[in-house]
Amino acid sequence: MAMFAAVAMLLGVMLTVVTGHVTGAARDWSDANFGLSSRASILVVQSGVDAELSSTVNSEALSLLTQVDATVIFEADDDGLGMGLYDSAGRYSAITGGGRDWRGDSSGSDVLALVREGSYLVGRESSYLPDSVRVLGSYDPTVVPLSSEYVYTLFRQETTSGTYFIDSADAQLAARLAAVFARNGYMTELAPLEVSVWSVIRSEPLSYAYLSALLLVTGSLILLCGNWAAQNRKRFAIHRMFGAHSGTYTTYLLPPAALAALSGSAVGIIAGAAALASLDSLSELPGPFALLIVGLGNGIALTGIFLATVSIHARRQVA
Amino acid sequence: MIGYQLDATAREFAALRGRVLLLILQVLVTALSLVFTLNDTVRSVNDLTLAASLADENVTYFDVSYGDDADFTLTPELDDLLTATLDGTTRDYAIIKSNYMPDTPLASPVLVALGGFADAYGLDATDAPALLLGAKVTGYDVGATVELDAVPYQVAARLPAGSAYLDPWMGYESLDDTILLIDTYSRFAQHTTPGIWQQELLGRTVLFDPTAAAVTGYVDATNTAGGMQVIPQSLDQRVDSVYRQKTSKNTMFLLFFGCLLLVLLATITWVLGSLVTSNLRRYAIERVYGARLGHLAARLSLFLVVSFTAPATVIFGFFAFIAPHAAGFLPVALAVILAVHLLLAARGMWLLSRMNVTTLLRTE
Repeated sequence: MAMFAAVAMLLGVMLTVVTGHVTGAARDWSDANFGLSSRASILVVQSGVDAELSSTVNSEALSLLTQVDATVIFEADDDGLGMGLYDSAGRYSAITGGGRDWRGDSSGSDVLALVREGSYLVGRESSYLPDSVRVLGSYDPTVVPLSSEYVYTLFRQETTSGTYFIDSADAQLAARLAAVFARNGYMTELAPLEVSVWSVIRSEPLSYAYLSALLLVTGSLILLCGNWAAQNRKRFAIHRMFGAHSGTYTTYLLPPAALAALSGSAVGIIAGAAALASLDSLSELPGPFALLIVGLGNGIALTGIFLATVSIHARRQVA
Repeated sequence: MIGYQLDATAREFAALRGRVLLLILQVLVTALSLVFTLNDTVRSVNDLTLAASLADENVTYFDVSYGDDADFTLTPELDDLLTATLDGTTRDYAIIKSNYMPDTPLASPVLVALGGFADAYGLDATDAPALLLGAKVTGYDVGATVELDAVPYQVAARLPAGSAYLDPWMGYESLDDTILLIDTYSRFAQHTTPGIWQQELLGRTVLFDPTAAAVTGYVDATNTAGGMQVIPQSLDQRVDSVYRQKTSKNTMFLLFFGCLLLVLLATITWVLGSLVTSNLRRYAIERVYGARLGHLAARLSLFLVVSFTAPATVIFGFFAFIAPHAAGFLPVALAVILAVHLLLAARGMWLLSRMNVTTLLRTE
């Protein structure tokens, strides 16, 4: 049982690392997509030969957006500094303060902007930002996953071509917005953002290494349990002679196996969490609830594997 | 006799085929993952070390955004600024990695470094222009003449092995396989056909401890040249956001595969123990017919070679060449593999030495 507890501990450490990896990958993925929800869509808009002026398109887009709550982020093709933001859903109210201007219903026509704290633009806005942009202040990039040099109120800008990230409870909004651009002579391409656990796993090559290693460890565990059963075959035979059956082994071995698996797993989870915390990646440390679930799951799964393997081997040995 | 041992080992493999295959698979995956992680970790550590060597000053570099429809033109103001920045005595430098002499048939890539590159990385190149060869560059030697864009340069020296520089966009870059041309901007521009290298140069400039006015001036001048937009970035921020995070991820991975390695060793130990104990009676009979412990040790070693030592050595050896940063670990890895092999073989021999022929041959 000491060997079993040791393997449970090692698996506990490994699963903590994997949970940390998935947590980090999910956070990176979410940050890369500006923290939008899984229902968000990406709309790529390219200017066509008969494209209407941006003011016409902006006006139509705003008319459409006033009917629903939505968050729209825009990255213009020819602007590496700024990022357009329309936020009637209040997703970024931590920086916009839920202001009317970010919902596109201000009476003014200026493009309003917040410059990122620490940006080289701070104090030099007039040199780098277009004249039509009026800077309201700065925003803290640690409270929202927006890393551009500045964000500005969307649908007042002069550029229309670029990539729009649309997040709304209305599933048809992105398609309707795409239709607005298409009607005004722009070429559009709409695709879902696809934020799911599977896409997170697929986005990280390390995930495959972790997964294959865990499968191999499971194989090793079955092997080790089988070896333990083979070593105890004479004991099982004697038990059988005195009337034991498969169920007896389960009842007999469940308490020590569960104790070894759960205690080993707990030690492994604590050791793994301590190791992760000591790294320079505290944010990738999974939460206590996730660790508890992983620890319990690991302990229960290992106990199940142990009992099943031993039971099968014991029956074979007797036969 | 060795033929018999090989034959017997093959039979033992056949009897334990499932376990041995799992073992080999585990060895391959563990070794492969460790090689690549070690490679990545060493690279990250090199990034951090090199960045730390520059960190006594505030290092500024530039993100580049292309997409402006306007054509790029090197304005006289920008030309003056580059001359002032890259001909001076500071450590400010700019590099050209591509888009330069695409038709020049050279066996090794050429890196053009303009400005204080040699000062920044402690290279021995006092006079510009200086053509230096990386430690592993073959085909040329010191004193040879190399023609770059129809301009002949004499090779001044060979760089020490392990010379490297920090490309803020790519991280640690080795100079071992590179032909390095160190020059001043004005001299290089005078002898080189204007081309897209001018635009590349602007995006690959590194400034040491610049004043805010110098950064603004550089951004202004570059952005007015058209075709591109540069955004100043701090190397310190990049070190925090990218290099340290990467090192953390790799350390997590190493921790994970360290645990896998321990499980692997436990599995090998148990499989070997299972092999020995299940064959004790056979070994006892062979001992009766004259086999010595040495013969049995050879068989155990053959078993270990096929299931552990050979796959691990092949993977480490082969991938050490593909993943150059991990190559330094090859001797250590080989020593560890050999030590594990010897320890496991010793354990097997210990189990064998405890067998009692009389007891084993007695019918149960």
